[in-house]
Amino acid sequence: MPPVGTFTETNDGNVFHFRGDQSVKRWDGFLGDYVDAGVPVPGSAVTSASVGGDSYIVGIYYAYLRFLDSRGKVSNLSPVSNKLIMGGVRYGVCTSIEEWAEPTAYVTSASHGLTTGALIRITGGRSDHFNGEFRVGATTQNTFEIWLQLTPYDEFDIDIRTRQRYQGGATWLEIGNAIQYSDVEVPTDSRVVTRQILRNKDGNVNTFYVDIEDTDLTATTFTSTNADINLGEEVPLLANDGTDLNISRHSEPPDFKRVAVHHYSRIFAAKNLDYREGSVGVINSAEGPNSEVPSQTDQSLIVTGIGTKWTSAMAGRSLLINAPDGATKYTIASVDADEQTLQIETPYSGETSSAVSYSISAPDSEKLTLHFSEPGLPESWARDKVLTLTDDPHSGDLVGLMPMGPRLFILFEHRTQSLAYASAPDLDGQVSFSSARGCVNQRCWIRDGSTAYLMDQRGVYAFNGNQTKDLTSQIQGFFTGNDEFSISWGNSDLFHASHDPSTRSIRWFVSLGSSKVRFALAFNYGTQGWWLEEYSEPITASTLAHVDGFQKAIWGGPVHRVLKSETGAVDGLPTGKTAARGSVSSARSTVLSDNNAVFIPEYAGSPVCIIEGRGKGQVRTIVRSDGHELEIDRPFSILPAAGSVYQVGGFKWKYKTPVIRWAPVGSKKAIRSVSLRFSPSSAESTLVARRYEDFSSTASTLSYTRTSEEGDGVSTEEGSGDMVIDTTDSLGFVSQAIDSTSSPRTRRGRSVRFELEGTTSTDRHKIYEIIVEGANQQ
Amino acid sequence: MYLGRYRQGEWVVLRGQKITPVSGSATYPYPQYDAVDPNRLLGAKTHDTTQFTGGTNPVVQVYDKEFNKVAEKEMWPEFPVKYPAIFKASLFLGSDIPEGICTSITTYTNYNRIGGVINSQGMVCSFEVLPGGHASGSYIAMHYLDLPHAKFVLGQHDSDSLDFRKNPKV
Repeated sequence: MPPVGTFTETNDGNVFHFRGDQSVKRWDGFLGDYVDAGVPVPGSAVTSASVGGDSYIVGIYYAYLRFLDSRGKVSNLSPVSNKLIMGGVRYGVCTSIEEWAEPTAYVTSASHGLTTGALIRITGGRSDHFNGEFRVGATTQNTFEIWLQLTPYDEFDIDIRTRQRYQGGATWLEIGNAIQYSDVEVPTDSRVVTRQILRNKDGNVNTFYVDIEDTDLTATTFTSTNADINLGEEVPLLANDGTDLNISRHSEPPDFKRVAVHHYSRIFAAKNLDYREGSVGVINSAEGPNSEVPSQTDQSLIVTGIGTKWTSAMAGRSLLINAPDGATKYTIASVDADEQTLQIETPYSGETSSAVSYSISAPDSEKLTLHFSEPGLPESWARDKVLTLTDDPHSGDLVGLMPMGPRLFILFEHRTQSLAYASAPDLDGQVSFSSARGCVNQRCWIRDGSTAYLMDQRGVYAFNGNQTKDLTSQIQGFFTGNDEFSISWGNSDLFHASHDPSTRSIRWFVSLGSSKVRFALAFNYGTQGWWLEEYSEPITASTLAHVDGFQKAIWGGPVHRVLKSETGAVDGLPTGKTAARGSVSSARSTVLSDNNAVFIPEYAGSPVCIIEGRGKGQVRTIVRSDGHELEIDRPFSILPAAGSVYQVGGFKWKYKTPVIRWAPVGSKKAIRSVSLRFSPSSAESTLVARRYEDFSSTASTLSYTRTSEEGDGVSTEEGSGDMVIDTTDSLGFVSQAIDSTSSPRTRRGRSVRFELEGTTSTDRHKIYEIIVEGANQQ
Repeated sequence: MYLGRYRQGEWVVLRGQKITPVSGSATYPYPQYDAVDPNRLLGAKTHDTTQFTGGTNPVVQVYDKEFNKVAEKEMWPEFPVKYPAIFKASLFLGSDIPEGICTSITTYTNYNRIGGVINSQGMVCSFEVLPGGHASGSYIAMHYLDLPHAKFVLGQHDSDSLDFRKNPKV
């Protein structure tokens, strides 16, 4: 199974998905698919050089490259280029200047070294008329032609130039006339749609400007003739207080963290992925010929995965190999995701093995780190801004983050810390101890206003940011490990909490005695009551949604099914479909037939319950619904007989009262009964009451058979403990006498518990009152 | 051995045990799984056949009802310390595994110290891929996104995929 990730949403409508083994994904509600978040940084510096051109660029320059995505989001800057000194490269003395009156003139200067097209500036002439900027035409070793204008083909009036004789004294200086950028990295990541080369202005190395912007993404050399004054968008590097504004604050989100939450204007990320899926094969070539694996060659640097799904993002992480002769840590140099092999930096030194357990995790230095994005820039993460928490051996592992009010709570298995900050968590953030309770994982807490409800391995508790209040003292057996219904923690990665504000209920989906997450410990924080729910299939994810105008919990289950909580009277049926109830005509191990029904295909995925008759109590999932037949996922343990009653989408529930003491009656006959007030249902459904005397685990049997008409809505069968209630009785009230005629000295029951068990049909069961006559008033 | 009935989008755990035909006095514990829920470990029993813990890992090949090979996986020890000769591989029933009866054949070869083959063995199991599944698998993380133009349910699945579904309604 892949690592269970977390989604987090930012104020701009983007959703980010962190899972720890690959790049963080982003989706904005419009994209056709999820994309990698952030913009990759160029890895290499550009090289800049002075070349001939049409510009007047003089100064000392540096350059950076950066990438942009289609939204204009920028990457970090590349490494800085070489230092470039523009201008003053060549100079000389003008020995003579002749034929000044022509469009061109000829300058004599020994071994001048100029080339055609170069731009020079002549200064120092005794007459200002000879001074100025000129372009070089044809050249010989000791002479060069100059055009008396910068752009030879423009209109000009030579009369503006002087006809005076050159009187000497002038010198020429070549002007750096263009900058050539080479070795410009070509991006390979599809997110990049633009490259920008940034250059400073002469005399300022803190602010850079866009010199070249390229969307073609193929060239590796560019030439710029932009003078300083012509440079584009300003890109400051550092603020006055030294804050990085553009150098390295736009790093991609950390791909090794699997928990992320949005808190005010930042995303915080925590909890490193510890990847252990499958196994690894390792070879120590120093051991000599390997008799057990004769076909393999010397590959001490190669680790082979079996049943793994390694990703390229794991390069650079630590690999712990649990070799038979001891565990050793290595650093992963590279990952071949296709072949599922790792190359490690140092040769494997343990015992050769075809399969040993292992784990891959971020370096130890990242174990207790909290990374966070720049404010308002959820895809820009300055990696040097990090909060490192203090190691507390009693805390257990860091499991999640919970924003509540101005504080961000850092959840460990057995402790909770809080982070408070004003503007910059790395500068003014304060981490402090909050409680000695923790949380199972990032998905096992629910926040409702100023109170949070969390589940850790000791139970469920309420937390208001300062104090905790235990809520599970009544159901502690689930958490002690001694109860038959104890929680199995082995699969706790998939445990999660689901909140339904409309009913004020929270469900923690857990595994009980099974590896599948199909039980819910349900809590109503209005009544402080607990109950247990069992689902026919695992519910492995949930979220809170607005559906039809109401906030509702929605759940994710197997085979891509999405379910909504607290909806309708039956379970798992698609929108607008009516549940079927009827009598079984015949049944095979995996097929149930009803010749009087026509089943619709949409029943596939829903549960079917056998609610009466042989095979009663079995619940199976329908995998095919066609004609008169329902095919189920698992064979029946007890084959239903013809006449057994089934309910598609049947929602089976059970309630047991607390122990009720009978009132002492002396020698008189004890007048006792149990009555039920309920809301009549429009269609037939199953509702059964049972009586348990004292500590008996089996229901007390009834000694007579009676029809519903004879029993005023309650039918019984001799030898059975079931009192079957007619839920369609318009009176909404049934009563069953359980008088006792025992004498005071007879050994007899002193207390009783009543159980109600129902399976809904078209309506919900609403039980208003259970009235026990003859019970002790206390 | 019949491994049960699954829908597309579910995981099948394929298990194999390496043994040698040489009878020995050693007994090894091996795990017992629930018949209804094959992922539920009930406890351990001992085996009176010598198990072999060296050599190459078993390889399981899966064939569809037409006997076309649809998957091949190397297995790894499920409990390397406690039950070193019990191997497993997890197979996700994606769109490449068709409905119907599938057959898995697990094979392995044991070598002696100088590289000679001691024995080569195989084990055949079957399981059934039922209709009514979905190759995306189960949700393992969800998020609800409410935007002005639509509402979305975003999901991560155990098939290692992400998706989004528009305008949920009941």
